[in-house]
Amino acid sequence: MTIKLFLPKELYTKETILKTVCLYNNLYNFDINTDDKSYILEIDPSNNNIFDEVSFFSKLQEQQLREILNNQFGELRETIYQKAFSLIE
Amino acid sequence: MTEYQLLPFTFKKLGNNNTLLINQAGEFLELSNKDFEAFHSHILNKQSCIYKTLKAKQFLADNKNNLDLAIDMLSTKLRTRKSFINDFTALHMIVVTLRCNCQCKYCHASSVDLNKKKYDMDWDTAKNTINMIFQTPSNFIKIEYQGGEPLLNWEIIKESVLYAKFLNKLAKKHLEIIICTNLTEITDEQLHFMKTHHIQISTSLDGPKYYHDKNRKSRIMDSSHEAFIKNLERARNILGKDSCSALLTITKDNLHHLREIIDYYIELKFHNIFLRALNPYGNAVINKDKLSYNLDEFITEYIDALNYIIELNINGTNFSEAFATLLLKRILTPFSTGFVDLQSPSGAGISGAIYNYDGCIYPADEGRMLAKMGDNYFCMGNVNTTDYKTAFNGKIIRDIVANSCVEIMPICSECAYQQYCGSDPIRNYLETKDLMGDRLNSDFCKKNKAILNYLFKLIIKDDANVMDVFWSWVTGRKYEDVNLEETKRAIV
Repeated sequence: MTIKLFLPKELYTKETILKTVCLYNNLYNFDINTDDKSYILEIDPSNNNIFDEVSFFSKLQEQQLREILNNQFGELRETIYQKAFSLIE
Repeated sequence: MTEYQLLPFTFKKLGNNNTLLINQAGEFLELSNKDFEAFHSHILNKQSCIYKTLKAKQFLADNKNNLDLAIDMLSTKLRTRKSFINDFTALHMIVVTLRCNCQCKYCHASSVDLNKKKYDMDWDTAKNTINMIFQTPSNFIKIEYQGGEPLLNWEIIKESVLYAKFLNKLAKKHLEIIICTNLTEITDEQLHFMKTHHIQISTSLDGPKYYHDKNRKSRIMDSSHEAFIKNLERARNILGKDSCSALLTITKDNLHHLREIIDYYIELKFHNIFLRALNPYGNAVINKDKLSYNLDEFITEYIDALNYIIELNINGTNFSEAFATLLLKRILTPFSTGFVDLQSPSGAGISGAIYNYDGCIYPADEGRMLAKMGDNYFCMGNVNTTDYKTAFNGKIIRDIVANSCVEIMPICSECAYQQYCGSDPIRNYLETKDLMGDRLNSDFCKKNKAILNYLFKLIIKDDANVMDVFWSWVTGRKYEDVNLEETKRAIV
């Protein structure tokens, strides 16, 4: 049975959805569409897998938090790497 | 809302309503989900212990000065962690022959019959190999003779050791030499030469006779185990009691008997064991049905064995597990730990290289195995025709480095354990024809994650005895010494 989820654009970015979907690629077939307000996810569990909605949303929220945190970190990660690997005179 | 800047970290939700945070310097902290939310929502109380700990471990900075300092600190720690890159390239493995007196069922080295002397390295190739090795910028050079059974081409080992020592009189590098041998036919002359030149032995032991002989069949005698035991004692008598280390290969036959094998290692006076899963190369692939097991089985047995070893230490037997020790060093200390199979960027080529009997250079033994299977992708050149720069600054090494930094690899880049983990691009290539591989379904990733999960469970539990065992492994000291120091500190 195909499951349809409407994921509000104000809550989830496209990157978040794609990264989360990637984690479940082995279990389900996904079809992603969009309208003005939402990303529309059609999920078709393959090989008799049952769609685990709780796990999926938990991972989706974790992924969204990563996106938010990465935005907060800004360029810091790159700055630290640059400094760590710079030549010492 | 409290004014503070979050510094880069990755996180992992634990099953106990807590979250594990790990930053770029490998510092970690467990927070309750509630505190974690307060932290990333910028509403943590500045006077709270958690706030101060987060600041001290460089998870946050609350003013410009503090931010600059934190960036300095994080970059210095990161630089220290990655300093293995400075030792380009320290480990050099020379396959002096493919001939072997054993025919192990899981052999990765594609050994051949004893009479096939065309698979021996000749002197010109050996000399060119040593010349190339001494062009490495690293101040540390470890030469490891491998095979087949390398002792079957003894003259080349002897001459090349003498030549390396001669070159090192001028180069003045820290030179270490190891011979990987099954010990079955080692002679007194060879042992005395090794003693004179401070050569160590790395050998293989799969457990008591039954398990050892089952997979490590000799081509020339009934029991390779009997010869091993006899010669181990002889080698120790001549070279010293700590001159030989042994590697275990875990197959279906011994997987469920790890406690018995650990006892046997202790009985034979080894101080550690490396609980290594079977790798998918060479005969291990051909004999897969007879030898292999699923990953979950391995993890269950590994954890049971690890618990057993911890218990042994607490009860007075100093004995460590090598893989756990490596990961604990990365978790509990800021220091660099070079381990070719688990580095970011991968150690293949930049930390270790292997020279085949015919002079072909590969970044790792697995690259050589692939060549044997018909795919020469990883051949970096040949010591007889290629110069050092072309071999070690060429496309292969660049491809490996570009495709093995977990910090930028999809999925790995968001994994909380990235600071402790690494990549195995050659194995990835073997399994998927892609250097980055299928991270989502890789057994390499699942195994490392499962072991790290368990180690963190123990670290967070913070049992004083278990932590003393871990610190004894990390620092190479005896458990009772670490334990005694703890007691003294508690009294003070």
